[in-house]
Amino acid sequence: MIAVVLCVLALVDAAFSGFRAFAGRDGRINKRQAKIEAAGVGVVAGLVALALLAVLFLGGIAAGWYSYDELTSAGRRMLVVYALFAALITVGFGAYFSNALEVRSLGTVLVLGPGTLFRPPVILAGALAAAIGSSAAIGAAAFVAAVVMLSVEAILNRRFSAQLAAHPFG
Amino acid sequence: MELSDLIVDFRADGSRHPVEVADAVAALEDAPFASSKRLAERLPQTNGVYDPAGVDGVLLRSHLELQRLAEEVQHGQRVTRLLRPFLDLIDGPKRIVDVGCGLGYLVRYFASTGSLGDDVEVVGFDFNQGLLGAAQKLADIEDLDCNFVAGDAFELETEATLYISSGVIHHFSVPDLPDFFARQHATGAAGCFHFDVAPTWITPLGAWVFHRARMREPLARHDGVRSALRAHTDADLVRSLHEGAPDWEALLFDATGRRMAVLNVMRPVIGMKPDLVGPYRQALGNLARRLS
Repeated sequence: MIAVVLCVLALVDAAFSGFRAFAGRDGRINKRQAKIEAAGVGVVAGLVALALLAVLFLGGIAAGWYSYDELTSAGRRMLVVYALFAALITVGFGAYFSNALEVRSLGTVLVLGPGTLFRPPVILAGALAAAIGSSAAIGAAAFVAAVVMLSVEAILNRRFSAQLAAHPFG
Repeated sequence: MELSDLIVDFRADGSRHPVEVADAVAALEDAPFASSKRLAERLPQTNGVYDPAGVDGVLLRSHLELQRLAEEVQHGQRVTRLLRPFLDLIDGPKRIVDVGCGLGYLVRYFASTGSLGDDVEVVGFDFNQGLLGAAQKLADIEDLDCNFVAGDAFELETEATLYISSGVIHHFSVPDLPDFFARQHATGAAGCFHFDVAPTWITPLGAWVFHRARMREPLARHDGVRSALRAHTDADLVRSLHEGAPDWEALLFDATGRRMAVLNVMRPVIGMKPDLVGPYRQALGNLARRLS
């Protein structure tokens, strides 16, 4: 269950990474479909990242570096950090989709903007939480997982940057 | 000083002049941060002169990111809710001139949403022909009926009903502001709504966070933060509008200090004929409480 929830969070995060990498690179007024497609590209990138991590974790278990139960225990600590962050971002989105402009502004200014800035440290903090009290092998695997998830947005940025260079007007 | 003011030289007659990198760097001699000069030195150039195509690319990417910020803070809706009641007070067809429109986000937003009504024409003016060309292409892609003009917004053949701008007036120094208002006042327009960064205690930090989080282009990050530092105070705006347009009433919507500073992202200074002020307040409804 812990693994499933972490995977879902990772895919949601990847979808937002796709949206952010696309945002600010298309000057059209109406681009709802393009935003959805960008989020979809993010999900695909997230699935690839998760597949790589599955190979790492399952390979580690097969190699006897750690057990599934040890991974789950570390994943639970990781999840606490990510769930708190996800809850905060959810509150921000709740405000953003309100009908009142001022409430929307609060969501953007207080949560969503700073949330983007704090995302990398939060991802690393989750890895740190997983590493504390775990074996060195699990700690290393947690940090690899964090770096892989952080690299998803960097890769998507390169993709959408190349797209802007090739088609500057959408 | 913002780099985007230094790296291109478009004149009112539509001509473009080369800009030497050394001149831009020299203009940044007293800039508070060394990063400004370093960035100016790194921008696309050939033989010590900024490369027009390269610089236009940087400015296009920066303005696309600026548009993203405008979309995120629902700038189009914010402007609409203040402009629509004003325009409804004026009979007949109306003409709005967006001064320094850049990529023409507002012009295209109004054309796309029709939020200002059917009898309103919005024209975008800017000296930067590169940005205007991009604005027109974006309008064409979406089949939007938009009009962009390279040149001086205050020398029109057809009279404007209203002048607007977004993030433009901090580019003028305080001594130059009265003339800016005087020129639009002299055209016989009914008023002006100029939106710009509100200089609250949290503005520099907020600008840094948002330009760091939302922008990738170094010039956009640099200029975004500098513009927040250059934002004019309410007092300077109102005094300049009184001085330049003495027949207009000067108003502020969401004056600094009247509400939560974090919510005061872009606030307009408003000038309008005195006989319109009362009906405008009435038309605004509850929002009128935020006028001062």
